[in-house]
Amino acid sequence: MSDEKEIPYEIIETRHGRFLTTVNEMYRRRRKWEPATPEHLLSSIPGTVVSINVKPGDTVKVGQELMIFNAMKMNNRITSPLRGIVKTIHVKIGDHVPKGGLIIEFE
Amino acid sequence: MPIDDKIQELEERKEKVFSGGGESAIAKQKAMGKLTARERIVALLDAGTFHEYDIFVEHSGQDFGMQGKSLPGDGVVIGTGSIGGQPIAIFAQDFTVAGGSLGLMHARKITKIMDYALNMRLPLIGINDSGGARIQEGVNALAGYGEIFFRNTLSSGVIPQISVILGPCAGGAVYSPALTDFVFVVDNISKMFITGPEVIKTVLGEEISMEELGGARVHAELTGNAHFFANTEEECFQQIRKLISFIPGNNTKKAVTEPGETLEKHDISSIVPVDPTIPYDVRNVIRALVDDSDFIEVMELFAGNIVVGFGRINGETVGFVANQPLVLAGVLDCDSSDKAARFIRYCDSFNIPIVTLEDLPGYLPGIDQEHAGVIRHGAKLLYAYSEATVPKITVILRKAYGGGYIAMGSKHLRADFVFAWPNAEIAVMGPEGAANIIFKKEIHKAENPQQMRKLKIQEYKDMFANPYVAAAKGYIDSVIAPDETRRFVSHALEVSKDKTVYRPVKKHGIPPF
Repeated sequence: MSDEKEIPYEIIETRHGRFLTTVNEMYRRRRKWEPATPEHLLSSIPGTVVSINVKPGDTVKVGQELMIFNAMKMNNRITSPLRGIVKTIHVKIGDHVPKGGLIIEFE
Repeated sequence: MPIDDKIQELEERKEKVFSGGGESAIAKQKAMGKLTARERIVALLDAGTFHEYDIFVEHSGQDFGMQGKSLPGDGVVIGTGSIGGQPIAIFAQDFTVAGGSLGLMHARKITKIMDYALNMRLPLIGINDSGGARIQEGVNALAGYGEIFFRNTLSSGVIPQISVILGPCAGGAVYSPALTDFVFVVDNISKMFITGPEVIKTVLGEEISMEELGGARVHAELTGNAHFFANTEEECFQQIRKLISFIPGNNTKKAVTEPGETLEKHDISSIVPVDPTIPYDVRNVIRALVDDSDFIEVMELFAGNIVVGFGRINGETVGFVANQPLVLAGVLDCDSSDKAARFIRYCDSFNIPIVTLEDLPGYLPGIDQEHAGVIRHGAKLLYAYSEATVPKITVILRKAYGGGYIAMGSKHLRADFVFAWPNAEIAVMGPEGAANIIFKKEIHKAENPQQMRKLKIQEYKDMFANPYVAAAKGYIDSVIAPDETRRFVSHALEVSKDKTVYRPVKKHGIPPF
């Protein structure tokens, strides 16, 4: 009935203590969470840069249109999430940006 | 005689349809290790029971040169038959005919058999093997899918619905299986995805193979879309036949009882180590409890930290929900809560009593879990247990801490019977965590904090890490020796046979989907 073969156990810790066990593929593949960097504007969806309305050194305010980003058959307006100065623009017109790709850095 | 001529003509017409997409298409199908649609049905059903309908249906496409083209049976086979004597309705898409693509008449055949199944209260089995919508038929193909999804939803909880993915199942087509109760996949044959590798490559520039994106293993292990994984079609059909033998034909029936072995045969206590930090395979406990050690596990490869499946006790089908200390220490997390909740709702819909075996160290801590919504996923489990009105029996084998204790079929969620083994630890927290909080000052002030902590942990263990505090409040009905488990559970099932409880009348609840 019970399995006799050696199982390579690992340790799982919960608030109730440490326990020997095996881990599954979902657990192994989980990604470490990283805090967001507010100065980095990332694409929330994969798409293509249609136009860019700002250049490095520009002062932008919250809600100001930064670029048009075509994704999922939509020309999306990308607006500034903060008030600040554009430091670097990491994309150019026609660039294909993956999800989570860095678009603009502010300072 | 004229009728003989007519019969001859009928046979010839049938023969033409039965040849499907022709020799070369069939040869291609075989080369992929796949059977044809009719061969699959014959292999799955009881010999000689399959009766096919709508054999002579023709497609209705008028555009893009489709008129005048013949697609035998319009790429799908429908009919009724039986599995282990249980009548069932079935459809099987025929990949050899226009890639099993779904057009208007193809969909009408499927919805026809779905209507039969619902009206006659028969289990429905759908074998999916299709390239997707028949583009030439445009919005009619989309309409077809919509009509299928609607019927899947209407039938949900009334008749068992089983989807068998034996080929590609892409785009909108995936949502019919997703709405059904059990999805079967076969290694290297099943492929399911909303957008395929080609689209992903063009749109995102990410390259991935079909198998890596939506192969059988992916859906059985990672996505949780599949409930049963097999290596061959033959093995898959065996699994379906076995499952059908365990479940009732519809929601007004009970599963057929089968005589099992007598009680008190297994040595359960040797399976579970007394030390609560040592893992073991809880499936061995289930096998020790059920008739003939015959246990059919659902979603075996997904969220292995909870085990769900069917077994029989005294011949009657029972749904088991058990924490699995062997995987992730048996913690509850998003996936395991979701998996168990859905299974409990299945059992409740189909009059299958639920036996819960509890041994868990609480919820899995982690930012990823919190952000993945462990609150709402965990809530599904509370909802499912609370909502269920079938007999509910819980056995606490070892650990029952904190929120996990409440969630796993506790008395408070209206378990009918809760039993605990004498080594069970039922407490608001594990001894270490609790001692650190309650005796924080004493530990801090002590000359030797380490020693004081040990002392206090032991003190807490002695006082609270046992089943008697809960038993004193009536939260546990009986503290039982491990070897008495089957006797207590089978007696509890026996006396719960005519359980009748009512819930407030409502259109439906709003579970945290």
